[in-house]
Amino acid sequence: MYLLRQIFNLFLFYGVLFCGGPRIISLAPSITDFLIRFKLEKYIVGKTYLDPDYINAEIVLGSSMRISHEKIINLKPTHIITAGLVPEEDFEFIRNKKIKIISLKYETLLDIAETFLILGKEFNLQEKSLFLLKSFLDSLYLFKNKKNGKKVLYILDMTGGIWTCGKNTFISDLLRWVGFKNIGDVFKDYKIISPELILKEKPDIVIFAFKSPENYFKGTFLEKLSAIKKNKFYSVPNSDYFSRPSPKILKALKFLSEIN
Amino acid sequence: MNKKNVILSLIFLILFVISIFMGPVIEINKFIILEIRLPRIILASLIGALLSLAGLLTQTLFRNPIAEPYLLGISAGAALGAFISKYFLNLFPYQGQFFAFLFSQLIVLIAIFISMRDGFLPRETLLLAGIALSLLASGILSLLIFLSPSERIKIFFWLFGSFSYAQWKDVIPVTVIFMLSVWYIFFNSRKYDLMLLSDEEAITLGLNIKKERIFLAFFISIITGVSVSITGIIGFIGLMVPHISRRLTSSGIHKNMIMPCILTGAILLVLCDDFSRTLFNGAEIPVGVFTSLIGVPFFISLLFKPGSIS
Repeated sequence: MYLLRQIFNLFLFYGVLFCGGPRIISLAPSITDFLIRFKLEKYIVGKTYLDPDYINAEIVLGSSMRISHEKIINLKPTHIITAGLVPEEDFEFIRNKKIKIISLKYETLLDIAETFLILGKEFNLQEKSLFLLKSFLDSLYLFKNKKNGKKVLYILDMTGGIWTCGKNTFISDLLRWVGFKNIGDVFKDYKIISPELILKEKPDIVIFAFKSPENYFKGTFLEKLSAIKKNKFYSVPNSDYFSRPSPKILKALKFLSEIN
Repeated sequence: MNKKNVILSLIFLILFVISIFMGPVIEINKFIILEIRLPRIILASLIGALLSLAGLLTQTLFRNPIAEPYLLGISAGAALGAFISKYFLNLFPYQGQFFAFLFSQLIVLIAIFISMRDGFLPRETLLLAGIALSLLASGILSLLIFLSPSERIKIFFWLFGSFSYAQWKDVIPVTVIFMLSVWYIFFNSRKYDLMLLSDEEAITLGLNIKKERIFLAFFISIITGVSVSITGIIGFIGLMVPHISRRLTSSGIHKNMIMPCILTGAILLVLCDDFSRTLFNGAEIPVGVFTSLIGVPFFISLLFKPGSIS
């Protein structure tokens, strides 16, 4: 029975391919990551300017964050997949062209898991999606509650103040998953946190989302924090791991779990 | 000291004391008060005073009551410098402030250079050159932001100014600049009164208008450049406060306007910063948001009051 189902799925998948295959436009780098996991990258005909060069596709979403309507028409896509970066008027344009649009929304780690199922169903790759989902969840639970409630301050940027992430953000979800207590959780989303609040909360660890943080915190009140004095500050190896809700977050979780 | 100045001083002192005990952390914490709030409030007072004085002098320079220091292109130059330093260079600490100051001065220098006619600096040409260069700098900044969209929200917040990083090491140089500026303005106040007259009248009364106008443009650019490079762009203080001061003193004489300008600017910016750090329970809102929220209605009210802008 299992073998028959596998053959049926393969038949469906390659049937689509022989008929020309799907023509996918990915409008978020995280979606491209998912499509790579499904080995669907060769069907990507349109991508964003943030996607890797080896994806042989036209850039549809440029740095202006506006979609090129001309390219969409020209590429004749069968699927356009978005993850919240597309303005409503662009949605309207795509709908009017009768192109299938899949709009994904992830706010929590489990939303990422659900994306495997949604994409698997859409491209008739249910078996593969279950396999990918299982391996993703297995890896995810390896990092669950590794930290013992240590207070952490996650600094996204220091322009005009200390930018941090609140409880409804994806980054905060990652921090909580490994067992950190995010001091930015007093807010809902991304905010400039008061220096007073940071000094009051006394974070055990400070994580910077950018390289060479010493150049930025030198001479500021952050130097007074015991976490900084004790060298308990870290710079994320690749900010993409934290900014893209995709299977790559496992690398972010690995990084967080290795912090002492 | 006249009665109005005494009242303004009292208001400032009361606000200063209240501000020290206001903040997202309610408990009295010596470190927070001494190392976070006190330098912040003092810096806000000094920057408010400096921007107000810069506004007063810009209105004198252009003989125009709706002129403000940023018209010379200082803010656009500083924003461009800060953005370039932050996203394209990584040379040394405080490079953002350094490049902001450098670019603001560069823009004013170019504006003065292209406006000069036989050693004379015509007001209208300087104003137009300042606006043109400001637009050019804004255009380049927009292009750079366009090319790096993930950074746009951050520079947006820099454009509205903030005292989040205020500390004693900023307070000391700003205090020195403030004291020198007050002394310089006080010393030259009669010259500035004469600059409000027509060029012919000022020359007849013995003013070297060529030299004084260039000196004044440089002086404004330095005090505004220092303010912008430390806190980011805080709008409307330079426009509003000289008007409030004129109403308080009922006089356009510079010597009489120095104190009201300093005190009103300090009061207004400390108040706006109090809002910015306390209204949203631990989250900070850029202070320029509040100066704009107060400034725009004030500016519009000026447009509707007969005789206010003349």
